[in-house]
Amino acid sequence: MKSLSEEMRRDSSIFFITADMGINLVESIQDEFPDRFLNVGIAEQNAIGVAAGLAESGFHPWVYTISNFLVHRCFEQVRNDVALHQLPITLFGTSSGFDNAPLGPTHHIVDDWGMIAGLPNATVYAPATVEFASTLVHRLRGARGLSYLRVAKGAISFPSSSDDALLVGDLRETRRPLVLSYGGVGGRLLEHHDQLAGVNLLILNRLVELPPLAVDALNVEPPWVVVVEDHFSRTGLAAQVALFLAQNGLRTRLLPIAPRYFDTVVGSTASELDARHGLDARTVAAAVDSLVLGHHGAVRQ
Amino acid sequence: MTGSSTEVEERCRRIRTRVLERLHAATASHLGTNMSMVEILAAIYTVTDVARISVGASDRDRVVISKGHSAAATYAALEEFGILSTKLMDTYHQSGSLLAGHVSHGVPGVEHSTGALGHGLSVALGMAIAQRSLRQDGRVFCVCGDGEMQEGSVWEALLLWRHLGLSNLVLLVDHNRISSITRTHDVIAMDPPATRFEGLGFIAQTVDGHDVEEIIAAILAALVGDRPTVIVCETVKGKGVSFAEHEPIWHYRSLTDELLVTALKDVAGGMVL
Repeated sequence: MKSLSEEMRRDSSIFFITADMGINLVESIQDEFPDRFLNVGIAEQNAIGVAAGLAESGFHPWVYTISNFLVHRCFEQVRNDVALHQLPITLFGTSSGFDNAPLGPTHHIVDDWGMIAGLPNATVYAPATVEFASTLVHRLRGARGLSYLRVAKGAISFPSSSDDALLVGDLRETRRPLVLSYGGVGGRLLEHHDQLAGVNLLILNRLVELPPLAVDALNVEPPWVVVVEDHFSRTGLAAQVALFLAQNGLRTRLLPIAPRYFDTVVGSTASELDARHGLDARTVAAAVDSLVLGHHGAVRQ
Repeated sequence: MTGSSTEVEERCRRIRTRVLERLHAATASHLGTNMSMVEILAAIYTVTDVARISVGASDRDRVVISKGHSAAATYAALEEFGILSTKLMDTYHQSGSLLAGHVSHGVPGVEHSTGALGHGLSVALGMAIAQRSLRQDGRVFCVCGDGEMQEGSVWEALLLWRHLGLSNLVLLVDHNRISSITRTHDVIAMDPPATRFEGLGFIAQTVDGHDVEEIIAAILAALVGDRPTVIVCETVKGKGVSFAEHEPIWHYRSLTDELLVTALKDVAGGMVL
């Protein structure tokens, strides 16, 4: 919010809309920019429509609320009023995956960015580290289309992590399995990367388009790519990676690790539900070990 | 402002005639809803600064047709007021044309593509908020159908609009009493609609939606009012075409050669105008 305020001082086209979310976060923007702040109330469809009208009048609106409301509640507005008209609108979604674990499945955000990624010319960011998140405002300067920021709670700090993708490992070691992840789950894998010995760990901050480093990491044709995500794989990164592998004739095998259903069991924390769905470093490490031992099918020689 | 009543009637006849010709040429549907809003469109474009709309001035008046299936009438009105060329209008609904069966922002004079209902008023409200923030003098006009008022998103926009109190936005509701397959009263009764808007704190004016002068007077009053105004335009679906008036099927049916002749005669003869 601080960097957004700084950008609003610099760029008078930014208009901030909240659907009545962001207590103790948005008030300073309201105070400083009363002509460019609007709380539309709990009315997400209207938030997007109003943003479209503002964008057609020359503004670059940022629409802020919890990611599930921002994407699912008003997807037709996002599709018709924003993407179809190629308007410069940024969807600032707070929470991702199981961030709201104890609140139940209506607040689990496991099927959001895949919907946005299905729209032409959309850009999707899922910052894994605070260092990258702090660059987002500047990256969106002059954006000409729809951008979706999938911002996890409690992002970790990791040095030198302000690029689109962050590699722990060495791509010259082409026989290593590649573990690919992003956002909050990616950040937690990054925190525990010591548990993932013998792999190349690549954490993405941007999902659409795939960052060049991700393209490089796939093009070396590792024996396995393990995609770990807090999003259904059918519309998630695993699907993107599968398309990339097939289009480029790569013989890498794919293991998606992702939730497969809406989880109605209460979890106290995101980490707890991550572990239930196999997204934690320990379970991922065990899955990788199984690959190496051939339990998930013979590793290509 | 509008010219003599004869000139206004002639203008509306020309728009109706063009709608009939183009719908027939393209075997397109939506005759009923196009016919019901001809006078509403004539009134709006009489009030707006058409020259500034034509050149796309940033502080222009903005017209958002939320009932996007009235594309033929909208395009015919844009043609009548010199915003859309006759050459382009002649391509309506034809393969390769930009003029689809729902209004499209690719067409000169169209602010926003609609077709899925319940979108236009939010967008129009965003434009009105932008005019306020930018201290511009433009006005925003939005046309919704009465069936469209069943969409929840419309009420989200109404609530915020009333809260903000903006009077640079005017909503006109085409109250033709028929939605998609049947009469609105039999689906979700909202009669009289003005009471719904008054209940939210709006000024609600109910006018004869086929009287251009009356609609214009309501618009001008709305723009100087101290509260937001909704204008309920009492209209007839299929207005001016003897076999289509009040008939839900003319939301879907297209004109045969024989029916076109009858319809053109009805409109030329001023059957019920």
